[in-house]
Parts: sequence; structure tokens; C-alpha cells
Amino acid sequence: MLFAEYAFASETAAEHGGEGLASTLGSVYPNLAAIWPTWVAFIVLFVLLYKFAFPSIISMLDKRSEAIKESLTKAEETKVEAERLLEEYKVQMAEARAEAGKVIAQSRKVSETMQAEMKVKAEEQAAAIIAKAKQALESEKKAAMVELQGAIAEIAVGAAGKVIGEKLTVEDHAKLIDSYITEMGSLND
Amino acid sequence: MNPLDLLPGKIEELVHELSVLPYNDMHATGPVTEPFVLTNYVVWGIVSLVVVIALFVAVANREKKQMRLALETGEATALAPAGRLAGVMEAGVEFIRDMATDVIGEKDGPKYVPLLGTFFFMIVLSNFIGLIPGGKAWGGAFGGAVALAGISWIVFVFVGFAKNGAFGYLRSLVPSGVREMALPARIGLGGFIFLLEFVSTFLVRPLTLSVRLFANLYAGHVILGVFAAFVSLFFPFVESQLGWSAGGVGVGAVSLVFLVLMYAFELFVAFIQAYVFTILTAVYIQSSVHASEH
Amino acid sequence: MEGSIVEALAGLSSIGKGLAYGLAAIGPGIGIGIVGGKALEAMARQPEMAGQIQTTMFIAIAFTEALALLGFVLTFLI
Repeated sequence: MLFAEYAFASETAAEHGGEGLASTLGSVYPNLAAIWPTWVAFIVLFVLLYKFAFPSIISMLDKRSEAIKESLTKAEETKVEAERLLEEYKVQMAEARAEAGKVIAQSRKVSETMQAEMKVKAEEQAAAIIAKAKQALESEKKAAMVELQGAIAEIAVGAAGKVIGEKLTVEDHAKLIDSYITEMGSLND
Repeated sequence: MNPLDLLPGKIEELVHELSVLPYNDMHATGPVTEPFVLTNYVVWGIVSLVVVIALFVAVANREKKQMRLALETGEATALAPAGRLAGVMEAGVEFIRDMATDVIGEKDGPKYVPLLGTFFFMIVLSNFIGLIPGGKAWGGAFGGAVALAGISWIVFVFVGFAKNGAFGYLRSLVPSGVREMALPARIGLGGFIFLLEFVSTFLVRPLTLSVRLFANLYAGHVILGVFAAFVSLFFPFVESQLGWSAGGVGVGAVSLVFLVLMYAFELFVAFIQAYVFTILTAVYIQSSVHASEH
Repeated sequence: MEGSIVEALAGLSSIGKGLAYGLAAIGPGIGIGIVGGKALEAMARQPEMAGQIQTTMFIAIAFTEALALLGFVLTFLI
């Protein structure tokens, strides 16, 4: 303090003779002429901001954030709805696809069974035709054989009669030849 | 003539110019000591006040118009910020509101938004206006900084007493752990801590709040002034009769670059000091609101 | 003779002012450096907490800075 007073005395003595606190504190002297105007300015600004500016700005901010929140929730709802619809469509699509597959499989099965049935029928018919043809052939053969037997017997009887000379009757000859032929036939079989 | 011989006179002039003087008499012999004098700081303070009010009036008016439009048409797009100025001011208000809710709490915070907003906008705009060459900021005079810190002090002390009662607030200065100790320790240690806390809460808080604001602005102005003095002293033919010399031009050019850089830095400091002042006020209010909880 | 003593005392007072603020600024300088560094570390580790850390950092810096500011006031008082 002593030094300060000396120092200030040398600097400011001529100007204001050392005004106590103001000159001791120098720049950190809390000047009353600066204090009360600051208070007045602060109070004026506070009242204006508190009454007019902040309510409207803050309500604007709140309204805006509300609107944004609202539109976001709306968008979220729309998205959920869209997803739900998509899921539904997917399920429906899968069902339709499964149905179509079933129908195709069924028709394929039907056609296959029909084919198989037709094949079987055709085979049966063919077999029947063949069997009939065989039967016919057999009976033809039998008839031909019987005819042949008769013819052979007549020829043989004629020939034998010529050889032996009319000693045997026709009936005897026929008996003889028949027995002979059956013998031969049994051997042939 | 050696320019360095002129430097002390220049700095004296600078410091004189930074002191509180009558607005119409810049060559007054000493700082004003009478309370009712219109000083240079008050004139510039009124300028900054008018600027703040004009900004808010413009934005609030536009806001009101838009709100009405939005309510009439029901269109949400009318709620978008009306232009850049409104966007900036709204960002500032939101910044203050977030600060209040973050620091003071969701429940008590919103009540203090206008107070903190007044501190912030008043200090930040007057700091910027103080950076105009010749301009002054409220906080650039120690009295102005003391006045602002005083309002902060009044608010947090008042809130502390109102929320906790006179006894409760003073009792909360001693931590609850010490309050539950045995009687001798409670009186000895508790008394000591009470003394420390009392000084730090009621004396050091307002002192540091005011000195921080004042010192940053004052030091910033002095630094800018010194670099400006260097430029004007060393550049030939500006002020000194140095004449052309490589040294003079070099020192002047370097000082000019530093002046520009420091000016940018001071713009940053102007914002940071307003922010720190506001957030510390918020912290002090918070400690008063929740005093009984710790 | 008298004048030279006064001048010497004024010079000593200036040295005292410089020393007072210079010494007062050492501790807070280191302290604020530590606060800022640790806050940066914390923010790098948990970027989502950056806002809260920043607030706390400013408060811590304010408390640390108080000592330097007391030194600053003292400079004017010497």
C-alpha cells in the first residue's frame, strides 16, 4: 500500500491529488457511474424479454417441436400400416401360389391316372384281340385238320381199295384209317 | 526518432481511453467518480441495448405473425424459422433453454430461461459491440461487470433463501457428512468448513464472476490496442517520422497480422465469456435450488 | 535524492505487480491445462457425453481460474 501510494503520488498527484479508493484501485475501481446504468439496462432488457420476446419465441419453438413430433409419429404410423399391408399381401400371395401349385399337381395326377388307365385298357383290348385272333386261328386249324382227315381217309381208302381189291367195305376201311390217324395224331401231339 | 520512445505515451493514452470518462470529454483528467455522469461506457451500452431489443422485436414480431398464419391455415410449414435472423435468434434461445434444463434441471430450469437469456444476450452483444474500434462493452468497465455479477449474486442468494429457508441455506454450506459427525468434530470441522464455504459462496463467487468478465475484456482491449499502436508507430509516415526502413515495415507488418489474429481470438473470447458468465450463473442457481440435497 | 527514491519505489512496485500476477497464474495455468486435457480425453472416450462434459469442464475451469483472477485483482491493489 505504501509503495502504491508513492507510485500513484508520483503519477497522479498533479492531476487529482489522490482521490482515495478510486486512485488506489485504478482500473478495478467499481465505478458507480457504470453500476447503476448497467442495472437499469439489465432490468429494461429483462422485462422486455420476459414479457414479449421469450414467450413468443419459446412458444414457437414448442409448437414447432410439437408439429415435428406429430408428423414423425404420423409417418411412423403410416410406415407400420404399410408394413402390415405388405405382410398381408405377402401372405395372400403365398396362399395363392400354394393353391395354384395344388391345382396343377392335382391336374397332373388326374392326367397321369387317365393315361395309365388308357394304357391298361388299350393293353387289355390288344390282348383280347390277340386272344380272339388266336382262337379263330385255332378253330380254323381244327376245321382244316378235320377236313384234311376226311380227305386223307378217302384218298387212303380209295388207294387201299385199289390195292386190296374190293374186299373190305368202306365202313371197315374208315374204321381202320381212323384208328391209325388217331394213333398218328397222338404221336404227333 | 525512435518509435519505442513513443510507446509508453501511447499505452498511457490507451489505458486512459479505456477508463470510465464522460462521453463528451474524452480528455478528462481522470476516471469519473461521481455516480450521475453519462459516461462513454453507458453510451455504448445503450447502443448495444438498442441492438438487442431491435433484434428481439423483429424476430418476435415475425414469429407472432407466422404463428397466426400457422393457426389459420393449419399448415405446419408456416412454423419453419422465418429467415436467417429468426433462425439465429431461435438457436440462441434454444441454446439458453438447453443450458437451463441441463444445469438447473427439467423441473426448475425453464423458469430461469428469461433471466439467463437476458444475461447471455446482453453480455454477448455488448461484448461484440465493444470490439468495434472505439466501442465499449458493459463488462469492459469494472463497475459494469460488478453490476452484472451483483445481479447474479442477488438472484442465487435470494433463490437459496427462498427455497431452503434462511437456516436451511446456511446449514447446507456444511456437507451432510460433517453434519452427522460427533459433536466436537461437528463444531470444529463444521465451523471451519462453514467459514470457508461462506467466503467462497458469498464473496469469491461474485468477485470471480465480475473480475473474469472484466479482466478478459480489458486485457483483450489492451492487447488489441498495443498491437494497433505498434502498427501505427512502426509503419513509416503513419505517426512516427521513422521514414522507410526494412525493420520498421517488418515489425509493422507482423503487428498487423497479429492484430488481425488477436481480433479473431477476441471475437471468440467475447462469446465464451458471455457463455461462461451465463452457465456459472446457472450453476450457482442450481446449487441454491438443490442446496438441501447435499 | 527524494525524487530518485520515489522513482525506485515506483519501479519496485511495478516489479511486484508483474510478479504477483505471474506467480498467481502458474498454478491455475497448469490446473486449467489438466482440466482441459482430461475433458478432451473423456470426450474422445465417450463422444455422446460431450455436452455434459463440456459444461462440467467450464465449471471446473471457472473454479480453477478464480485463483488467477484473485492474483489479477491483487495486481491492481499493490
